[in-house]
Order: sequence, then C-alpha cells, then structure tokens
Amino acid sequence: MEELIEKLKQQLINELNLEEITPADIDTDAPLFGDGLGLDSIDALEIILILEHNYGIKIQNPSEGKEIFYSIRTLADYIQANQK
Amino acid sequence: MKKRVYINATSAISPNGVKGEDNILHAIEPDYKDIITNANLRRRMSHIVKMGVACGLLCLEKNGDRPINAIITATGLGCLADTEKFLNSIIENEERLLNPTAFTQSTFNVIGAQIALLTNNHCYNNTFVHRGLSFESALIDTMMQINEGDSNVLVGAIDEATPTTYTILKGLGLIENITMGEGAQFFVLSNENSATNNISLKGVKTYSGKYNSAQQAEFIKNFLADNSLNTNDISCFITGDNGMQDSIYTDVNKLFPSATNKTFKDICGEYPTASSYGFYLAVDYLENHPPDTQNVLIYNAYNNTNHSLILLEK
Repeated sequence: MEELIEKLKQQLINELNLEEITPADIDTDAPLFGDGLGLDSIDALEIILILEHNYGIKIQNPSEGKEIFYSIRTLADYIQANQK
Repeated sequence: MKKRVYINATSAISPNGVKGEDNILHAIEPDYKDIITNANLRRRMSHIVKMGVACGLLCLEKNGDRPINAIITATGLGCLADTEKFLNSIIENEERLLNPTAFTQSTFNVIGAQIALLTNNHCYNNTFVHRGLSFESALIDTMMQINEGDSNVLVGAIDEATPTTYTILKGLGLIENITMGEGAQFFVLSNENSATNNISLKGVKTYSGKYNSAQQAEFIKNFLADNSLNTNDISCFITGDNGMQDSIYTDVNKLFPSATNKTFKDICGEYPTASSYGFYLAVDYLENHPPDTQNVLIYNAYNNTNHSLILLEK
C-alpha cells in the first residue's frame, strides 16, 4: 500500500505539473481539492486519465467521485480494491 | 482625420542572437514565478503561454495605471508544444481518453485570454492567426480600434519553436540555411503620448502573394507615397533578411541609399511573427537616436510571400 501511495504522489506531481512539490510535501490524508493541494475540476479529469491509463480503472459511478478523490489514501484504496 | 497611434510601452522576451545546441534561437526567459505569481495558473502554462503572458504583463507594468481598452494578440503557428502533445495523445490513445489540459491550452487565443483573466480585463479581445501576416493584421486592428475610440490597446505577437516543428519544416525544405527562432513582443499603443517619446505607428501594408524586384519596389514606393513620404525620408530601413542566398532582400536596400540598414532575424530568428521583433527594434532605434531620426520603415517577407511594411515616425 505504501508503495502505491508513493507512486500515486509522483504521478500526480508529474501529470499535474505541480511545481516545487515533492512527494514528501503531499499529506496522504489531506483533501486533494479545495484545501490541501488545491486541485480543481480540470485536475479531476487528469486524475481520471491517470486511473484509466496506469491502472485500467474506470469510475463507473460518478457519484462516488467525491469520496474516491478525497485524498491520496482514498484514491489508493480505490485502486487496490478495483485493479484487475 | 486619422488619429495618431503612439507607442507608449514595449516589452520583449527574445533570443538575443544566442543559438541553442539544436541550432534554434530560443528565447531567453525570465523567472516566470516573479511575473505570473498564481502557481495554479502557471503550472498549466506551456512555454509559449508563459512567454506570451509574462511579456504582456511586463508591458502592462511599463504602461502604468492607464486602463487597457483592448487586448489583441497575434501568432502564426500558435501553441505548438501543447498541440503536438494533444495530437500525440489522440494517436496513442486511439482517439479516447484525451488529456484536457493540453487541449484547453493549445488554442490560439489562450495567451490573450489569460492576460485578460489575470488583469480582470473584460474589453475587446481578439487573436489573429494569419501566418506570416498575423502581427501586421493585429496592428491594423489596433489602429482601427484606436480610430474608433479606444484609448489604450495592448497588442503583441508570440510564436514558439519546438523540435517537432523544426524537423517537419526542415523535412519540407522550408528552413534550409535559415535559423529558426521564437519570441514574444508586446506593445501598448495609444491615442495619447504618455511615454513622452513621441514615437508613433504611422502605417501598415501587407501583400500575401509573390513579387519580382520591380513590383516589390513599387509596393514600397506606393506605401511611402500614401504616407506623404519618399525613400529619402527614411532614416532607418529594417529588413527581415534571414540570410537565404536567393534573398528577396537583395534589391530593396538599394532603394534607401541614405538610410541606416538594419536586420532583426539574426537576433530573433525566423518565425511567422518575427516582424514584431523588428517593430521592437524600430522603437528602440527611434528612442536612442537623435531627433533628426524621424521615419523608420520595417520590411518583412518570407520566401517571397507575406510581404509587409510597417512605418514608424517620431
């Protein structure tokens, strides 16, 4: 699990071009949107692409998005539970 | 009566004649963090967007508090890096799962739009994408806006050089013996002379077809006559000579035996809106030369197409 969390942090930094942020700067349990990293709706689309490209996961139910995308940990939990 | 169009502020992010290892004249960039302070906006901006937005903001800073009534931008090829990224993503992902950032940032008007967003400007905002005549088209629109009542117009041009574009243009034989370049130049043009340098844009003329030497000379002389001038009235003649052997510039300098001849593509390289660097150079020349220097003419063309004349006076 810890390995997946570190990998996800690095993927977010690379794909969202988060300047001057290292994986250590990202709190695993902090909100990704609004507070915390301060991501927005375009970033949400980029994260959907990260899930599909890298983990083969499609979010079937959009209403679950808020819960899944809450933090790095919730994302990692979702990947672990749904990766084939 | 046509209003006089003063040039009150200028800014440039340009290569300054320094070639990279790839033989391209790449712009020497400032630290963008100091100019585009919003990190969330900045992280999504590609090289050309940062270059253009920063250059526009620097120009507005020089203009002071005077309100801007229009933002007009020009680009020949637009946001190439993001376009390439988006097109590659279409192929790699078989037209599914496309990256939204590269798409939204690859549109031609993104630079003018970002400047408007960052400065809360809700006025006229237009982008000209007319190949080698994009900057000239933006200048013509600027002159019309000022004649129709706008006071201050931010007008600028931006193009970037990418390795993919270089490979494609070289493969097509379009840049043989030519140094490719890039850059951003912005200007505030106004109906008032707030910069006290008294430099103004007098006229712009374009022609997109091909010329022989006689037609070229006629094009230039007619433009000068339209502005009540002849070739002896030009103090400085600036050309977009890019060093091609069969240069269309060979004969034009002979039309101005008494003028100082200058070139600009040895400094900024060849790109569709390179004449905006010629414009920047012309303003600098008029600012730093004696009062008897009155008229500067810029002549640009590429491969005997997209001929343009821009006349500045002091």
